[in-house]
Amino acid sequence: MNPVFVFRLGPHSVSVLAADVRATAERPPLSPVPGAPTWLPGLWNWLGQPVAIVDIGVVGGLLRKPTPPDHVIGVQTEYGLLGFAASGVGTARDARIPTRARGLFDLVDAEQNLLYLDLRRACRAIDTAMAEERRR
Amino acid sequence: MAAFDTSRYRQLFIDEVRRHLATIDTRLAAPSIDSAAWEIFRSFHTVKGMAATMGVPAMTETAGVLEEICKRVTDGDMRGERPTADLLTEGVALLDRQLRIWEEGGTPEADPELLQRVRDFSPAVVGFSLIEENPPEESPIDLGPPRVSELAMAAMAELLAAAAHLRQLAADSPATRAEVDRIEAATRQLYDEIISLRRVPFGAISMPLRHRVRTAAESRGLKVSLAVHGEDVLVDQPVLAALLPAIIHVLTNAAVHGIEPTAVRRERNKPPYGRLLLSAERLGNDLALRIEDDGNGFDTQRLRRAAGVTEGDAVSHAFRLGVSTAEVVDTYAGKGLGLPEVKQVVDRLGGTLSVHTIAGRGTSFRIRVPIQSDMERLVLVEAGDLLLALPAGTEPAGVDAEAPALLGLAVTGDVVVTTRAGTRVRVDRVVESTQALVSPPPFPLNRMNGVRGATIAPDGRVVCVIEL
Repeated sequence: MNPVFVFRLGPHSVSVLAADVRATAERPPLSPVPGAPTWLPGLWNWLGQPVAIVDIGVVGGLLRKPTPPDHVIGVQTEYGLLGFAASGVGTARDARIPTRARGLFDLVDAEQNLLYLDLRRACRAIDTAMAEERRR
Repeated sequence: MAAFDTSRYRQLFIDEVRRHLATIDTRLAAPSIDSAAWEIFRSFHTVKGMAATMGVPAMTETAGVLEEICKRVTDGDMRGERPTADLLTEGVALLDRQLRIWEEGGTPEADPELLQRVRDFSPAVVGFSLIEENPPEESPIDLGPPRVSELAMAAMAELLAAAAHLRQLAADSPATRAEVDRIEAATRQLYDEIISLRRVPFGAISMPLRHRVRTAAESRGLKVSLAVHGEDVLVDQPVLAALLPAIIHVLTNAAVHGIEPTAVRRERNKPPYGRLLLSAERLGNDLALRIEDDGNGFDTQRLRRAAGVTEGDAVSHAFRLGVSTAEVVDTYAGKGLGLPEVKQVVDRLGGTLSVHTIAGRGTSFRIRVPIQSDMERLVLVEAGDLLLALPAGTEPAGVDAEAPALLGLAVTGDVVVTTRAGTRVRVDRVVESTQALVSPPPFPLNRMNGVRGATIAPDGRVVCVIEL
């Protein structure tokens, strides 16, 4: 079992490894970025460090409508700090996280309908989505 | 039974001891430690216990001897006056040195001479001189060697510039662009790491400053206490090192020039100890310092006489080389060199300095400098609903309702600026020209063309730096 941090993306409960979470905030002011895709609602000032907030639900195809950034969650990724917009945050709990996730979102607790977000895949998906934006 | 593994608690021990030493140091700055003796005792006691657990006998012994002094104060056997506080301050400095040696992997040693003095201490008989006839030249306050060399910073800047250039060259090659992405990701992590390595807490200078100020005041038979606020504010080490002489000068100047003798203070219904305040605060990308005293205030008439003028802003003369109102020239003051140098230091850092003084009430210095030394000059503009930053070289160019709007945004104003590249664009308003730290664009904005970086506005908003 691994300690995970659970947050809400619309109707979905999504978890990330608790060790990767650096900060959370409720309705922080976000600065929109001109020309950015709609799934990138803006930049968040976390302790003087600009962090891009991404709607991973839309990027990953889990949601069609954008998630209002009522909360943001700052996570450590291989590319540095990244923020996720969330409609709500829950508490830490334990979940059985697979060594190799079966997709960007992997169902890790069918009873609780809990998804696990693979951060490496999330970064790849964001990269791909950004490349598509550039081509447009 | 398995041996107790202390390595897991190493960082906790270091952090906790530092926290306790800072608490003690703050309490020791008060005019009397009588009321805080129990709290100081508890802190020394905790340090002693933790040091024993972690196996650092020199610190255990030092803290143990110091806690005994506090106990004598709480028991009413001795008064917690200045000589007692000074001795404890020496003890705190010793504990701090011992901790540093242990942190660096060494084995700290006890200081038998100091410990003996503490054991023998009795403020009634020990010859503590409050007034030194000839104050010694002070040794510099050491912030340690630069944590990141200038060479490393220059190399970092080169890497960032090269990555940006590569991105332009790779516009038509997805494979090359992917490699550029990797280089940029690694560069960004490296940049964040380097910047965080360079930062030191403002409180790193508080303990030696207190000692310096107290010694300076005592050289004139004056009594002062220095309160330091904002010790947790993280400051770029080169900036703090550059500012330090200015801070020392303003504080010692206040201590020896500003604070009145105790008798005069009593007549003025002021506390017997002159109060000095050094406060640090982070405002956006700036470090804002406040240095205040509750002393005499500037003698404006004497300043004008010293400057050979009869009217005008008297305070501004204090920043002219060679102008001094001091009657005594010594290590600490009176050469008329200090305040002009303070201004030069602040100017060199691209900051601002202002002074407010009220006769008989005191003086307040406000210093504001960029929190990091590698800042960029930016022009902040409002366009549509956005606050954006344009790099140096952007110039206001009048008004023109026909000029294209910046980035095609919903601009309703007709203010035009010319960018560094010579492009004329329309914005709603030019807010200000400012110096700010520009961070590389965070992932995934580093995949977008046109965003050169991001900075933090004074109101805390993140502002995109746009490259046109």
